Amino acid sequence: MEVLKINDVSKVYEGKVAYTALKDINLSVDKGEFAAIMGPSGSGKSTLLNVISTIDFPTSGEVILNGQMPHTLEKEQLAKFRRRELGFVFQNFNLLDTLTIGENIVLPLTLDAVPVDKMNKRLKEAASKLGIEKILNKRTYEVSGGQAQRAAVARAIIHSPSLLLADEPTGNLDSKAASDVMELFETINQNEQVTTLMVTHDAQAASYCHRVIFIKDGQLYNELHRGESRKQFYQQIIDVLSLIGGAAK
Amino acid sequence: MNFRQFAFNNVTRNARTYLAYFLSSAFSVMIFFSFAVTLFHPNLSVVAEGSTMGLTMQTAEIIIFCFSFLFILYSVNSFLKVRMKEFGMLMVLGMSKKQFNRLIFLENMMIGSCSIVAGIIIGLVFSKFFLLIGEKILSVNHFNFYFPVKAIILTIVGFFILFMIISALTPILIRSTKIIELLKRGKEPNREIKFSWLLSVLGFVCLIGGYGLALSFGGANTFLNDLAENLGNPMLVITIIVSIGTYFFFSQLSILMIDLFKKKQSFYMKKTNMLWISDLAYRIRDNARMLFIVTILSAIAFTAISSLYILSQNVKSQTTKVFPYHFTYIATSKDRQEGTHIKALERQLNKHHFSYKKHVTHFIKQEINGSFYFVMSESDYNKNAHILHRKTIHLGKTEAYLIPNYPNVSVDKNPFLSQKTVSLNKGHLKLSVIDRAEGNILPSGLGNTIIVNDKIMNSITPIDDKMTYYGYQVKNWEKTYPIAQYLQKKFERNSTAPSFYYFASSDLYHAEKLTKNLMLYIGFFIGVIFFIAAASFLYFRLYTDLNKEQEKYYNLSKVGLSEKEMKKTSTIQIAILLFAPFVLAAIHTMFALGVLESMMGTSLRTEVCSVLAIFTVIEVIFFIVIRSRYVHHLKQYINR
Repeated sequence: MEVLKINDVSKVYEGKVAYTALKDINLSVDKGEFAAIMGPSGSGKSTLLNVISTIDFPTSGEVILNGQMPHTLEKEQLAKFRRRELGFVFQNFNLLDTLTIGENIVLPLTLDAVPVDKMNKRLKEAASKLGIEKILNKRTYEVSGGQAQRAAVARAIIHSPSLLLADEPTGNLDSKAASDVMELFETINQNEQVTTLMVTHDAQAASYCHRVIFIKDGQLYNELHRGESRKQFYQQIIDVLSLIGGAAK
Repeated sequence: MNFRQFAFNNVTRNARTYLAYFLSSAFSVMIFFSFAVTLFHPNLSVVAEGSTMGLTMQTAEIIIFCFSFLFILYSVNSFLKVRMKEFGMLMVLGMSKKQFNRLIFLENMMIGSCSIVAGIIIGLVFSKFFLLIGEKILSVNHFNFYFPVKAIILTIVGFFILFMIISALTPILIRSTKIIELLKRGKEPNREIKFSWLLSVLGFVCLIGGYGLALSFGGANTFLNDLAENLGNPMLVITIIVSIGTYFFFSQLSILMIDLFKKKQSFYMKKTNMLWISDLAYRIRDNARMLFIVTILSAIAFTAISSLYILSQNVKSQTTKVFPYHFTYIATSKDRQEGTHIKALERQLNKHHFSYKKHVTHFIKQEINGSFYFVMSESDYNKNAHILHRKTIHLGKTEAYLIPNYPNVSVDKNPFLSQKTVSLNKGHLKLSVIDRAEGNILPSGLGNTIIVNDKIMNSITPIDDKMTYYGYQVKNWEKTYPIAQYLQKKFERNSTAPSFYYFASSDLYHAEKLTKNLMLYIGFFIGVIFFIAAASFLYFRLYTDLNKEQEKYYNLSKVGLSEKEMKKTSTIQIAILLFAPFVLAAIHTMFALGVLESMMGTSLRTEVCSVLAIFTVIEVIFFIVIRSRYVHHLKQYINR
């Protein structure tokens, strides 16, 4: 079953010289799938993620998420849609430093006015899944980058979204913390059946996914499906990247 | 954590970010409250309801309130700008517009309530100090501390409403609610810096021209003087020209000057000079409008306070011009109490040990074409002129000398003084005017005076009313106010057809001094608010750019910029941003008061200098505080 379906999406930035960031993208992601979008810088991969996450709007085409077309919703409805259907992990974590880690994690529930006892129950569950029970009362500047990203993942999944989106989730982490976080994504995807779509330029990170979609100059270029071996998949990704000029880390 | 707790945590856990906003709000509350404490003081009888002074003070309180409103609105705006990214992130998490508005509202009301409480408490602590100043300035006795219930209620209610309105307005200020724009805010690269030679020269010409016009006010018969006189409202024209000059000074001329610095390689490349010079161009370009506003606000504050101070210092000399003698008694021929009144006056002066000189002269009241004039003989006039250090005159039989009703009258604009001939005795006696005096010799308000030859004086008929002019010169006359008031009560008059006139300089002096001092007191409050607001604008601006600066210095420290050098470059930058508008405003003020100087014909240098000296001290304190906080923030980030 498709969770996400993208039909002929284009994005043109108006200006002195109109710039086409995305051109006739067609893509679908099935329920429970773990997919990555890769491409050289300026290829439009971030724009695509922004369009899917409703942060940005497509110039033409449609995005269907769980049977709804979020870009056609009214503002209030769209906000509600975001807080219920989407989870978002940013590259630089974007945790509020005014709040504790625990408070940061429950923020989507706070916005949805979920009762406090239910909130605490969900927080406990999410924290144990991610192994961050001990830092819930700490402030953001007291924890490491890896821990902060775990908290950000917890915040993104606490409300069981239909689609988990991640923008370079390992971009600010060292390789050890990066593989920890990727393993976490993998576990969550397997155990909870959370459909996950991420943008990355890190071939190592992408190799954890089931499928990698390559994009170049705003158009779909190629896609790879993972076989049995992650190592082999990694090598395949590197090969495609060197072909289209993406940076291989 | 529910939504309200979220807002609460946001505010309480990050006091540092909210500090600047909180402080400027608390400061506005404090000023408003302190003024209200004065306004509602039980012993302040001069602001009795409905009196002019009462209304003046109430108006001032309203002005303070309105300015507080704009000031807080600006503060909130610049404070929210720093948090755009945070808002963007919250919207990605699914915060709706309604929830965003509610968050802003809750935060604002929390900070608002705290700043109201803090402002009132600080105000209470300082109220003794303000009342002390008030007591001195308004010369009110027993201006002691009281518990200002009325002032507290007014402040709480007023500012509660103010924060409600601001909370409702702020979401409108954040015009863009497009998440993508919020998230990317502050990441735009710096555009290239450009300036125009033409506009720079125009700015320079405007500044020099404006100053030139201001200077030419006093100068006699120069081309510029004529030009200034022909401008209609010269003060307004000068203000506009100088304002335009100021704007181009910041937006063009300063950039041009920096560019010239850059071209001088030996200076530009020396040590860390390059760092602050290249950055300064961007800073000034980005903040040109703000620097312009700060300059104008400061100039207004300086000029207003200086001129009010001058006016309050000037009351004494003004009083002596209005009433040439310190006590004046004029008896008409119908005055039956002349003897007793004069005796009473002199008895009072003797009783209170005031030494005095008495001068008696005479004049006649005559009606010419429906209006009244006073006619005085040449010898009586010369007697007065001698005592009052005026020009003595010599008149022929067909000549007359004219004296206006009020001091500082210009001949061309006064129909009485500009006459070439005057006719007396119902047109039977025609005299040609040989000269005019600039100021009155009888008390102002009585009427215009014509001086004639002694022999002609005897032929003046019909004598409508013959008057005796008693003038008393009293040593330490400023202190005769109780006597003046006592006599005022004692000398009861028939107001429709008075048989005598009585004037006391101390009476006028007292009333004038009170008004001028009250204006100074109000001007001081409003001026200080303007000035502090101007300084906080700069502080907010620095704070908004802090993140960028931290990142920059962090990177520079990696390539080997020492902490000392960082301190030095940021100190130079802050000093230029803070003192450039200040110095320019001070120069504006000096030229503006130069105009006032030439209009009043006295030197005001000491007054202007003392006012500017006080503000310099405040500005330096500001600089030290802002700089140390700023450098502290930078150091903290680099050493984290």
